[in-house]
Amino acid sequence: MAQIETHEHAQDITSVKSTTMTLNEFLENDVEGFEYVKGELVPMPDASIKHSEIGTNLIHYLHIHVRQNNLGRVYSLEISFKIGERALKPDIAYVSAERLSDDKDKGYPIPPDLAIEVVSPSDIQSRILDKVRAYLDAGTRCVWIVEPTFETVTVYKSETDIKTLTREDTLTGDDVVPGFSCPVELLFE
Amino acid sequence: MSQLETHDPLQDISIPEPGMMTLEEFLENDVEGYEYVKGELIPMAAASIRHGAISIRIIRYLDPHIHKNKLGHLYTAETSFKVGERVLKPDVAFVSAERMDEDEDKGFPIPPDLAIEVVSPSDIHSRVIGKALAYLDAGTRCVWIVDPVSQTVTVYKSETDIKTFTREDTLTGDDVVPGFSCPVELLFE
Repeated sequence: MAQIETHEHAQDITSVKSTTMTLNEFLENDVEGFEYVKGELVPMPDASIKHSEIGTNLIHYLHIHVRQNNLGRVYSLEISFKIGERALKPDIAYVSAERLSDDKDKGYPIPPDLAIEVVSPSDIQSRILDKVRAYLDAGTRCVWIVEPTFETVTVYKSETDIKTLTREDTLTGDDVVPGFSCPVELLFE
Repeated sequence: MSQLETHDPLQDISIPEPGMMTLEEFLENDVEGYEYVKGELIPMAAASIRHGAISIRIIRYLDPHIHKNKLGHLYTAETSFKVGERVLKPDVAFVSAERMDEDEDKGFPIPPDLAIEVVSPSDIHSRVIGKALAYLDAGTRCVWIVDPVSQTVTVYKSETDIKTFTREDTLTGDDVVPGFSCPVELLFE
């Protein structure tokens, strides 16, 4: 049932459920705590306190910049985006003004411009990277993977444009969130 | 026993009956398939076919260079190293000539100069990263985390010196394995 080979203990946190729901049905009426991947409901890992604090810091800095400059919108918490054959719920997402959805009652039928995932203690590495690839394949321009142990942000722009920023570096929005910049260490305070 | 109904895999995975094995006892007489972390035996993730194939390629390219230049020795799966309060078994490890141990009948009482871990499909991200940090804290000069999904090698030299190499890049041994270089794509062929 699981698409990836799982360790016996990892199985219970990665157990997926089959569903008869289509992708569009999920986007219209989604299931809390799950993402949708090719006909299966995949549970999202629980967030830790640290995970949540980092997420809040990111939203804080990103939101202020995006709103002040009328660049678009920042989303968090359980908003679904159609990512190819999946509906994914990034911890934080940014959609530029020209791509905002008119129908605000359901999930986004398009991928975000920027998807941000904060790594949870139980996250499986291969699944995180598989998600990064899905976002990029679907047209997301940039993915940030925020890693609490080393306090790093890895910026993926393509499969061959990957940079890891440490607490000595400054995270920037480049051409995706123009003008945004934030010292990495502020995210982990 | 567990009071909380959580999906914390870290709780599930540690084996509760570590016996009274000390770190030194584990090094002398280790338990196949397990690493030792602060009094507990932690099962190693099962390796996939791809995982095994990548480890062999790393050895194929690294070993002749090390041997020819008499730089030291390469060790593979199930060789134990004392890494701080842990005994870890990197997929591949390099120990420089001047640090080699005379007693070859037990595990290394020191960390390797270079530790290489190939990520398994079931590996938990935070645990892979935690290991990289443990190696660096213990004095390992360089850690390579090889990821088959993204086909990247992330090189950790310190908490603030982290670089990801993609299949367009060339991996080098820098000052740890002097003179070594290998196109990343060769590892994932």
